[in-house]
Amino acid sequence: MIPTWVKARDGSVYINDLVRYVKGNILVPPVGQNPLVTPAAAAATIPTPSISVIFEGGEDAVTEIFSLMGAHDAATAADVQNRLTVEITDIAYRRRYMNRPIIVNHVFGSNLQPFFFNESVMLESQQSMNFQFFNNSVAGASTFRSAMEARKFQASALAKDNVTSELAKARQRKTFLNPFWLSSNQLGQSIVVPAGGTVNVFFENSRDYFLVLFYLMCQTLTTGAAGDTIEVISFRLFDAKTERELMNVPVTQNTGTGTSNFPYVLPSALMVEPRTTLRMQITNLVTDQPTEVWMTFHGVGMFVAEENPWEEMSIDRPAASRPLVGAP
Amino acid sequence: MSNLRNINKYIVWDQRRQQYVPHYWRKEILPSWIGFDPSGTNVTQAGVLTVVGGGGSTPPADFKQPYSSVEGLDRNFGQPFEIRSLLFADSTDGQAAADWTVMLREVGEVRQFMNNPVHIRTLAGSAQNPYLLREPYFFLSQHSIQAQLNKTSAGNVNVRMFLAGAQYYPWSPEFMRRKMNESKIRGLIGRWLERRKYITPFWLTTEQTVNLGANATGTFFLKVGDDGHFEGFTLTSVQTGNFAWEISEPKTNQTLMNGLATQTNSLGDSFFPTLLPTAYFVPSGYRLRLTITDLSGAPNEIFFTMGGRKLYVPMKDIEDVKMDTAVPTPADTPSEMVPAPLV
Repeated sequence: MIPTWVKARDGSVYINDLVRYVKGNILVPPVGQNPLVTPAAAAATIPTPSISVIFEGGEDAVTEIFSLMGAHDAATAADVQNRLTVEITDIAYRRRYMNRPIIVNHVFGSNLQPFFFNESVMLESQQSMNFQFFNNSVAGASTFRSAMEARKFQASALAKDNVTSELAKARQRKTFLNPFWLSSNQLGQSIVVPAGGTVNVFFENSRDYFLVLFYLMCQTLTTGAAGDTIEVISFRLFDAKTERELMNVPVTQNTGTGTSNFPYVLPSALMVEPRTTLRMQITNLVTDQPTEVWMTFHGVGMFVAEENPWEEMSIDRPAASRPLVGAP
Repeated sequence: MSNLRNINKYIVWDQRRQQYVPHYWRKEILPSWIGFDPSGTNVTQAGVLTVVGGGGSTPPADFKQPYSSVEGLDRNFGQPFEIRSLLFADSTDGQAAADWTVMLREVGEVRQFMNNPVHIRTLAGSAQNPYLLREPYFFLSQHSIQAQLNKTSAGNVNVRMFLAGAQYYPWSPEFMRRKMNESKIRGLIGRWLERRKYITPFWLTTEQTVNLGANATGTFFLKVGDDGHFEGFTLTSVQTGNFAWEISEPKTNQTLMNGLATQTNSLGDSFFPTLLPTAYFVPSGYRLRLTITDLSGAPNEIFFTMGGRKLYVPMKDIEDVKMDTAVPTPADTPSEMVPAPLV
């Protein structure tokens, strides 16, 4: 954080010169005032992709992004709003920020309650991020607008030592850290839990990430009228690797999950090692209809290198050069 | 780049390997929830308690902290749990209309967490807006907290309540190969064990239920008790209709305000409590006088609660105890007054 006031050695206080060069910024896609229109899905299992939406850092500045905001146009059908997904890619680093497309209701907050990253994202001058949306609903086209809150370090500030040293640290951090959304391993877009039934779902971490998860978010859709229609679902969560259960009785939607506006902040971060899998057991408390569930964790993905990557690699001579075993 | 949710607590820069590595010992502190023990009367296997309405009696329910170890080794700690927030669900009325009171007491230590039952909407929140304890409570293995719930109106309700926080696994086999990490978690637990003797979360409410007639004014008292000092951080209320209030200390004649304040301007609820700009310290033995005037023109039932912590320590030693047992509590780190993970 850049302080507005700076105290000199003699005790006097003056305005920090840097505030003139480091400024708040709203980053929008090209023609940001127009909604992104994505046609309806051909079928429930065949989503329609949008055009690629590019957010580009300023030409004259280094940009640091803090949060995401988005809104559906009011006329958009509720089913479309609930099923629109997005996949975010940092183009310069070739990194995806999620293990699969995530519903926008777990990615974008509102103007009043933006969705804050746990690790901000830095874009060098003219670097860009790609947002690929998918309309998973057959109920109609989606119309969605989005923006990001950021601050930018203008070129004129780059002559300042404290700015350049700050940016050097940021570049180092970005090599290893980025925001990450972790969703369940369902092949479809949602987890379907039969009426009154229970299903196991898995959240698999890849080999190269150590995840530190801070938020848990959930969205449910059901037409049922019997059973617990207030809480709708309950769940049990099991730690990756150790399978420790994190609760003594099932936790419900309103006591364990939030949305992108108000995500449930886990009381302590959940650390997930590479190549391990979280398990969640979801029960549908609605007893006359199935319930569709979208469950998403959000946190920070940290790239990890092996202690000694060569230990795990077997470099051997080509087979043709080896003596043939069993040959006469 | 910037750490908005304290990711820096979980990672460290490894100079030798030139990369970030995780603080592995923190992996043995897991987010957890403890609900009503399913073996209790009126409690289902899923932890749902049926609270009897219309003046009926509901048996108390328990939150039990289990004991666990590896091959009998428990590192003398078992499996402690740090309670950081309170959550509830009401499957009958919903969270916004829940209408029942709660009295919490630690059974083994015969320690009450409030002077009288407090309304659930001044005590616990939802997942989206949890009620954060300004002073977390360290809940030891094989201990239990008893909850006495009473419905304040007619009709039974099915409810859940959760103590949300961090589960410590000091005996984890992970520490067999990372001995240095074990000392870190043991050090943290050691400070908590000391702190919990002297400082606990506490809710201060009126000595009697506030029932005012239309446009009536009444005087009510909040008694801190002789056993410890109270430090208030939040103001909350649940009421039938609008009212105005004023609080003062009879002993010193000091007041918190220069006139009557309406509850719409000054009192939140457990989902969005009003935060006092600075902690309100009330020495042991003090009474607070609450003067309330109904503004609704109809009978008004009011539940007024001040949330904070109790300090069971002589006045002169308070700062020493806080310092000697320093752990990252929201009360002592004002910047943490947002729902961020602490450890």
